[in-house]
Amino acid sequence: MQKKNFVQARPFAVLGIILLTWLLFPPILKSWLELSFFQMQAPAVVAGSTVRDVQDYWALRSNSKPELIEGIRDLVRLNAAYELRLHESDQLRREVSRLEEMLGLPSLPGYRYEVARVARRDMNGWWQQMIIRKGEADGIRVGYPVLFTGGVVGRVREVQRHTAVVDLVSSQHVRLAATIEGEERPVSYQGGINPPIHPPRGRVEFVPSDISFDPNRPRKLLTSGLGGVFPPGFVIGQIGGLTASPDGLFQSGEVVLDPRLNRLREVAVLIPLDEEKNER
Amino acid sequence: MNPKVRWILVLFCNLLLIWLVGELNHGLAIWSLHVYLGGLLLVFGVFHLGLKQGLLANGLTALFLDAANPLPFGHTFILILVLHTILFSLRGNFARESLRSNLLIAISLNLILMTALGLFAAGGPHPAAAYWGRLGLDLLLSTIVLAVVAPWFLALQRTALAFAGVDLDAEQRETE
Repeated sequence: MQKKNFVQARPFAVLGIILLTWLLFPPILKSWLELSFFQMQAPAVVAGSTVRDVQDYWALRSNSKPELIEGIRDLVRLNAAYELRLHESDQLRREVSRLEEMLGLPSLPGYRYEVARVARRDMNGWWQQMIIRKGEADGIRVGYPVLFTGGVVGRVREVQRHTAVVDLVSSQHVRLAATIEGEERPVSYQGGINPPIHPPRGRVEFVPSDISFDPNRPRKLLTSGLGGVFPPGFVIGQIGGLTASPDGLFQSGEVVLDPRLNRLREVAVLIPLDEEKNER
Repeated sequence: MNPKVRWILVLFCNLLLIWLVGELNHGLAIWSLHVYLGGLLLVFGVFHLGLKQGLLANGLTALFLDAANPLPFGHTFILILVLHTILFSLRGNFARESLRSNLLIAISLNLILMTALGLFAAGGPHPAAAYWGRLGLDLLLSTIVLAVVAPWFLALQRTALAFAGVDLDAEQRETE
């Protein structure tokens, strides 16, 4: 009887020992374990991404020459338009430097863009994140902003040697200071619960009550530059509706994010030039 | 093959499933859908390995799952070890060789794991109904995928052990 009780209790005794050991494990060793287990999986994640790129390459190769020529022609036109904008941007940058020197103003922070391929997307009800194929070796650090052609993607949450994990702007764990297009007063943005088959969503709060919402002309929500993480003026999303708070002081509402967030294949990490210079 | 290292084969099969599910979720992300098969990862280790080997295989699997999610490291590990221990102590009450029994257990474990992860990850000023509604949809999709994938995966693990010279059916007959 005693032996039977011992046999039945043995699994729970072993569990108790393991849990006690885990609780007494030093946090630094737990961090090292977490990093090790993530890095053991990273090559498989990157390999899957590389295989998809090879698939895309062979799919493109199966296109006919006329289709490829048409595609290249469209890209050449786009490149020409971007070159003109780059030229304008250079001129504006020189003008800003000249004015800063004349007025004795501190320089605006400069950034460089580190383009990275998306290795793995993970969108669920608990978190929204992606793994990119660039990391510490490419100058990426925790907290750096991540953008794409449509605006804000998110923020770097973890960095390893050759990969990084990005919390998407649609994630509930991401909160940003923002402004509404045409306004200067800051509002608060937080990622929301993302229903399936719909574009990702977020929430905007502390919107002044005098700001109105017109469904025919929805206004953009932009980064405000407060907090020093995201430069000002990048698009977060579009205001989808505003409702007054019970106290009537502010409004809150839904923000509709770019549907391309769920299918990104390449993003750009903003690396502050000042920090990079200091590290060297 | 040394029977004491069969947990390694079970672990490798679990890691393969984790990678495949990750690739599937990458594709489903376009529609903001997600599949979670944590329950299926546990079942074979509980029913067909001894206590130590099962804890090793499922414990290490849990650490791999933990490293890939943003929750504090160890949540999934503790949850999976507790579920493993409870199920291990009750495994004499289940028809371990029956696919239907394994499938039902895997679905139940998946439900428990997803609900527990939902409770850990919940937070912020969001309507509770919308949050649990989204989780419910993910759970429904996960259950469907689990029902389709489970026969293949359990057979894969059994075959992996057979290649290493382990005949689970013969062992089961001996213990009976």
